[in-house]
Amino acid sequence: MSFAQAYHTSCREGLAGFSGFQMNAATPALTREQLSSLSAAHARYDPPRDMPYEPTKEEMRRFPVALRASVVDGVGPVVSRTEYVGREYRRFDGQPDEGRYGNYFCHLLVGDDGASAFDGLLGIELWDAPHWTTDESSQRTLPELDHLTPGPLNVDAVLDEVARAPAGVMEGLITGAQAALDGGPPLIIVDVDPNRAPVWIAFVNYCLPPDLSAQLTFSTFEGRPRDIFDLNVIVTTPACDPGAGGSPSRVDVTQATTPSDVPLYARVIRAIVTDGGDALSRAVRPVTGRDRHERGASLAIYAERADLIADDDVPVTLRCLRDMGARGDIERAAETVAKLATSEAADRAAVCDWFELHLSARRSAVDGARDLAGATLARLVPVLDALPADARAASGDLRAVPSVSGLGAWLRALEGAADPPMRARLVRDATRLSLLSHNVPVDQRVAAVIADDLGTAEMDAAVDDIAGTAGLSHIITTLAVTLAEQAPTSPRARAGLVPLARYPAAQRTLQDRAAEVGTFDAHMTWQRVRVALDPACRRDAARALIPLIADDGARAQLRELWGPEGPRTQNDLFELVNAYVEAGRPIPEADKERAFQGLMSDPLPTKMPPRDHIGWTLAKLPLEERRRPELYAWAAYTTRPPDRPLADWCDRAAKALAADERTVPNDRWVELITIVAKTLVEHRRDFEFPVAISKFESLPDSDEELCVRMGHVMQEALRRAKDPLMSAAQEFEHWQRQPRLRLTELVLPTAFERLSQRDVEDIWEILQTRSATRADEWERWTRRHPRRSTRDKVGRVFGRGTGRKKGGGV
Amino acid sequence: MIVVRAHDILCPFCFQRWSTSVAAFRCTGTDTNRCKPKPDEKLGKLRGTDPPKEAPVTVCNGRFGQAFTVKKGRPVRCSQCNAPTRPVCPNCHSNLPQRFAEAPSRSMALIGTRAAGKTHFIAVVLHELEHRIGPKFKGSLMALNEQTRTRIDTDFRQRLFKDGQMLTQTASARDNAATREPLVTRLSLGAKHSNLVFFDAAGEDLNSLDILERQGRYITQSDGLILLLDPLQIEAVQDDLEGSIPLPDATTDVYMMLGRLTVMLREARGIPAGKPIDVPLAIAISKVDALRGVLADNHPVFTAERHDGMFKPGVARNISESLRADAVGWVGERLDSFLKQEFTSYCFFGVSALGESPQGDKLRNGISPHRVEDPVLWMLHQWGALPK
Repeated sequence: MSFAQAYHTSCREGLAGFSGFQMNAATPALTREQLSSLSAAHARYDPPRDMPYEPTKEEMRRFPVALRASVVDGVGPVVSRTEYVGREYRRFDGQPDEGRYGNYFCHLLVGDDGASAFDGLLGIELWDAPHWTTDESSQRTLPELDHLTPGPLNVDAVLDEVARAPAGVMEGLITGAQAALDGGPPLIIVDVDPNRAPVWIAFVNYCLPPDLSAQLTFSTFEGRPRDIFDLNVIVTTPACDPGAGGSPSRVDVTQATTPSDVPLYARVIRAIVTDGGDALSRAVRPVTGRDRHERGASLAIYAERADLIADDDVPVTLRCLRDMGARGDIERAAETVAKLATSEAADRAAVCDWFELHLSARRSAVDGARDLAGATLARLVPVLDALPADARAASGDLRAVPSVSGLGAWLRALEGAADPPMRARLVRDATRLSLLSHNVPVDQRVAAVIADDLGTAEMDAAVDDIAGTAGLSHIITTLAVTLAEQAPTSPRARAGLVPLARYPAAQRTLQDRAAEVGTFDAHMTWQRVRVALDPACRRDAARALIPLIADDGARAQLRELWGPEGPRTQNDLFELVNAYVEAGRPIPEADKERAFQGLMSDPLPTKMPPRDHIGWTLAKLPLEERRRPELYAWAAYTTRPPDRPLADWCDRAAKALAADERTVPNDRWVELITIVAKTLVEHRRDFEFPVAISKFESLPDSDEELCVRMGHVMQEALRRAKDPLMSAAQEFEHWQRQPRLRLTELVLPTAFERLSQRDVEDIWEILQTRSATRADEWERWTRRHPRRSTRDKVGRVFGRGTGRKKGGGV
Repeated sequence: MIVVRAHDILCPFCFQRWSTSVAAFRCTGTDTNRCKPKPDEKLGKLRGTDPPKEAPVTVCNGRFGQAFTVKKGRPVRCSQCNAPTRPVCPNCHSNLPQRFAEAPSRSMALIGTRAAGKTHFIAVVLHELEHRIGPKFKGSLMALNEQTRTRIDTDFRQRLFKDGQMLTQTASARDNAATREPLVTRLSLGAKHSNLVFFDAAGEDLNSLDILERQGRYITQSDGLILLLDPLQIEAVQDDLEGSIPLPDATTDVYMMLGRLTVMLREARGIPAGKPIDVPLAIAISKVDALRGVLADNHPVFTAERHDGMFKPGVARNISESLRADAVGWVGERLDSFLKQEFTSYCFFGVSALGESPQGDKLRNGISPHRVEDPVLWMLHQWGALPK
């Protein structure tokens, strides 16, 4: 590598062709335009005002030397050394110099465009380098320099010197230089001793990361520092310093200051500078960042001084850690987070940054990601309430599971939360942060917490979130199992299962669990949920449960399928009874009694009831259970002869009619006796009729009522007959043949009640033609039962509608 | 009510003119949280650097050209933080001298060969205007900005007038910001107020058309030009003086310099060939004290009365005619025809800033200037800026 060089001074002969300030000589590789740019950027010297106007050679040595480093457009990195040389025309032949004072000599060196611009040396390391000269060249061309040798600057000596500086100087240097590098005004360093200028510049250089250090532009002396805008750091003397009050871009290295707000980068440098140059170099080498704040955080991290990170630095530190994680250095990030000693208020203010850092850790698959995820989670948990509702949910491929410590922090917060809304919020946050489904015990404990609050609007919403998040169905499952286990003894758990059962995963779980466990409780839990979702399946649910019932407690629980108080309506009860019957299990006595009572609460069927009618169900009871007046009464119509032998049928009907009023209510009794009357009249010519009718004789007072009703049935039949008189005659003959005259005496008067006198006579004549004996009997009978007056008939008509039972009739 | 018409202002930093109907103010507040510095593209462009982060600039429009005028009890405040402000150029955002927009500005560019005495001339002229001419014209001179005050007090007065030391050479405007920096003063003569803006230059710059074009914008935009000719650098004069005094070794071709100047003025101002340049040109022959052996003893430049309290055009014309004749004799007839052809108004002056040749770099008897104010007074007369 070689380096072009040029001399600029006021001389009689140079590249310009006239006397005065010009390029005295230059490497031929430099073009005219480049030389022009070089002189514009670097060739200047304003002597300090406190220096003599006409200095001697000895006095001139006290003039500050300006070592400048910058990047010149069209040329590249340039380092120059400018020294005051007195008169404009210098003589090198032993004669005194001539012309006016104010001359300087600027030796310019052009570096390479690459990363190693000056043989790997920093510009400031060329301070007092042996290649610098102040002698004009007699030739107009200069050779390129092949090799650069650094000057005497030593890192540790620099650090020692800076360490001795008054308080605040170190911080001021670092802060000002970084601000300048970030586009702020140049840092002006004021020092009464110009020989220390390279120390300050070197210190700034050593404290910066290599890339930034290479970018730092500086001058070890400027006579008019306020007019320099294109350099980052400028050193000047008090005589040239116009003073800037408390300007942050000015540091007087002889004055102690107590800056109120020292940036993090400076704090860290202050802390590690005593460790020596090597330690400083190691710490700053990996530092990155877009501005001084990010670099400060980065330095604190790499220097392992997280303890110096203040609350205000938290957001930028978190961004740095995220970048660091993205570069794979996630273990260091985790260690840093673990050491952060900032306040909860700071975490709260930076909650979004914490969230992003946590997510970045979760997305990583490298070692340490788990620890970082855990550490960030532990910091995030106490301030989760500050996370905006619209914060992006943890989506994507989350490879890292937070460490136990992080999950533990969240779990403790959840379990220790004061009220259901807070717990629900923590659960929702856990869903957002994808904290679930990583640890079975944790999930179980979460489920336990959720189970306690299920049913509250907040927790139900949280469970909704879980159900709506892919991969979390097992939480629903766990929750269902948890609640199912509590359900037999906990009404809250049972209540909680109802909203949970909205989710198919919960249903499957409960169903599978019931099948697996097989106990009544497990099945009861599942069936209860099932019924809650679809009340129409109660009967099925009950039928499934009944075989498992082992005690009254279970029976009571079964009844809860119809509500806390059991079946309340007739239909509910019938469903329950049906279930028992269909299951082939005995119906609880109380339910059975209620069922029979219920059977009697509705009118007796006068046509065939549907197949699911409770009557049919009860009819399936074992023989000893179904021998009941209620069922006989209900079945009077459905089992009428000829489906059942008349005598047998009448025997059951008689038993029903004989039942007390509580068993067969009055209304049903009336209905039943009407059916019996019709049936008997229909089957009056049956050979079993006498036996059948005899079944009712034992009924106290009822036989007479029955006969009267039979009479009415016959009366109606006669009215509808084609030949009522003939029919009446035939009926008389039939009834006369009956062995039980009393019955005849009770039935016929009503049956023939509407016959007129003439009808009587006509019937006599009909009978006379068939049998004189029957005609005589008819005459005698009509005498015993004369025709009633119209008034009596009217009275009968009105008396029939009163509905009075047993003797209350005609 | 005083109605002031809008007038054009020439920024002494970017040399762009703008109307006083528009004004710009930069916040001077220190609370960077309320009023965050932001990159100032215009200032960066002027300086040739990346946009520096500066306090924001508020632009105002005022009726009747009063945008810069501070209303009583209502100083211009920053629109963001309500802090006080300072006026800046709307075009380049450079800080303007105080009350710069209140009076017409007249800028004078001083050009001349290397070592012709330009800096000494300016230093002494400012001193004379402040301490002698001003009072005689019942007026005063005041520096309008800190840089001018510092340069007058520290560089000129201390070094030249008190220590009797010669001033150092002027660096190229390309290399030195101080050279590019104008000296801004307000000259009040009676009821007439003028902002006088002086631009110094390094002699080397006038040798380079490149530098002239890039850094010499002030020359083309100035309202008047003072061309300082060092007679000791003219061969004919050197022949006459050889051996009597130390002579400079540099010589300059006057025609080449004038030629470059006229070409640049015509191009910058769009003045077609054949039409004379309407910028007053004062051709000041410097160091006339050294010409006492060359010029006649009764030469008007030595004998004519001074402009004490009143500018006397006749005297100036008389001196100019004599010196023109001398100059023609030194550099040839074509100087006369060249000036007549190229400039509407020009005038020759003989001046001496120091009054005597220095011994080494020291003045034996201090500063004793001779007619150094004449070119400035003529220029003011040309502009109508002198009280009648």
